[in-house]
Amino acid sequence: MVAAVKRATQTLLLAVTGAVLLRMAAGDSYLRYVNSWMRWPLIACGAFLVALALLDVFREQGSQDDEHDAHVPRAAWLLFAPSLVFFLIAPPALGAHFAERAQSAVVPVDTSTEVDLPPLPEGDPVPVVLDEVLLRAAYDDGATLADRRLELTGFVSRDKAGTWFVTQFGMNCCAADATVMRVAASGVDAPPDDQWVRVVARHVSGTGDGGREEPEVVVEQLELIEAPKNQYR
Amino acid sequence: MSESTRQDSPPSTSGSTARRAVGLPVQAYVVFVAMAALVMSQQWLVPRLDSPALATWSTIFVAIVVQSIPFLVGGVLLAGVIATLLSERALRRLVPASPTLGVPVAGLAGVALPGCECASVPVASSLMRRGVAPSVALTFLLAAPAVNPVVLVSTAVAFPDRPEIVLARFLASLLTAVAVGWLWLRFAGRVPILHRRSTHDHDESTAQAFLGSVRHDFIHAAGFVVLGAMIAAAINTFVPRSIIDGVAGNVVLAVAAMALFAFVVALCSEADAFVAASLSAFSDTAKLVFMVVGPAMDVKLASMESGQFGGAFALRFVPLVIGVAVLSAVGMGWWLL
Repeated sequence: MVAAVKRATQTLLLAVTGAVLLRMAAGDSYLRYVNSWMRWPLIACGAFLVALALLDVFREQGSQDDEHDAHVPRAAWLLFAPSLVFFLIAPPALGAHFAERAQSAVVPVDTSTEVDLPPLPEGDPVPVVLDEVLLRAAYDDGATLADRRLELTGFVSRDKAGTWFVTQFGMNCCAADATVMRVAASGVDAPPDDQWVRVVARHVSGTGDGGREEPEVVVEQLELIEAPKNQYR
Repeated sequence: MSESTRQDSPPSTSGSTARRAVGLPVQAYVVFVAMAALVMSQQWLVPRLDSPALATWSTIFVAIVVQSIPFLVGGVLLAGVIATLLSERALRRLVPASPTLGVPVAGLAGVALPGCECASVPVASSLMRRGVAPSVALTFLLAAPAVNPVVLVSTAVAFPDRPEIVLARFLASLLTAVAVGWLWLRFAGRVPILHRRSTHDHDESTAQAFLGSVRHDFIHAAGFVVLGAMIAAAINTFVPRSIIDGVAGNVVLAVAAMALFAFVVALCSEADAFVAASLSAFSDTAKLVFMVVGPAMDVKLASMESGQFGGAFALRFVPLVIGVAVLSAVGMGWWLL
């Protein structure tokens, strides 16, 4: 039998949870879990929980009865879990393990619709984000990518067949709804999983057409880089 | 202030107060020391917990909790306002006296309140404590996270040039909320609903009552959010995507799978349209089922509701909501899509 959560423990629960939210939002670690606009809501919410706990500490002793402790569901203990997981496991941003199983951001396109894609900007190689590569490859056999050297950034993941991918996650709300964007790479040996890379590559014409599969690229240059602060798109 | 509280308390309570005044809050110290010990041994523990699957699970788990808590705090603040600041008279003027009429009004009221589903459980509970008929409060609980402008706009963004999907989602969710309200009114009036008392009663200043209510509601709901997040993260991490995708071909199976998927992944309603849009193998109707069931009922909500209103309630309410949501989504899909 799990003990009821006493009032003083509840106060501790509020303080710890608030402090963890503040700690996350103070640095960059919240970016591993949620969108960047969540920073201020997290700070406000963390400060509020800490204040709620402090108010209780400074309240005169004895004016509180412990009667309603009995009614606090024992599930309240679980609120310690996220804080402990955050400190003990320090969950990283989603990586290669989830890339293999995440929902793909590649959405089949209706090729009958007229889409007029503007040409890629000037520059050689031209930096392009992965979602744009997927989009451009999906239409017109990737005509707007033809004969261009693309500079792509992402981390390394691989599928069961051993193909490796330049990968990035897109995030709408939080990491739970992350969708994976990736292009299959060939031409060089794969760096280890989860290693961030910047590659200069050419799109293989016709791959990724219609958005039914990942586009392929032939890598000409490979550079290992540090993971960016915000690893999601 | 404190004198009057003590006089009004039942004898057993003053007994425990006396004991508490003597003893220190031992439990809090034990918990604090245990946490401190764990955090200090972090250097030693972290490499031993290093497995990719565990890391993925913990990332998604923490992400769902971190995303939910600000919305939950917003919800308990609003619930506190309803519980302490909204006068009986104002509430009576806002909510029609007849529950039959109150149900559709509550459904439409959901349009005006952009809230996450975790915010609406404490709000509904607080409405019930203030004497609003359960069916009316439950309609509001179902409508608020599903038909508000934020959700509709995000749906429009996720399905560009498909206004009929936004309309179908709006109508199906509203229909679900109102139908469940009326069914509950007609058939389930006697199902016991736990009314967890919000801390102390009348002998407090408004500010104290407000903070007490906020604290109480937060502690009550948060544990269940965490439980739901644990389950949803486990499904996300450990069930192969191929199983989820594999059933997309069959019409009946696809609808059932989407309802189940929406229930177990417990996404926030602002985000689920993007996930639905990316489930490209499924039909539009199946996607609609996903978007109608998700905000109305998921594992996190079921967990919170059984905590807030009791197991007997949840056992009836959860299947009822899922059934009605699936039927109304399929109906709307057949009519509009």
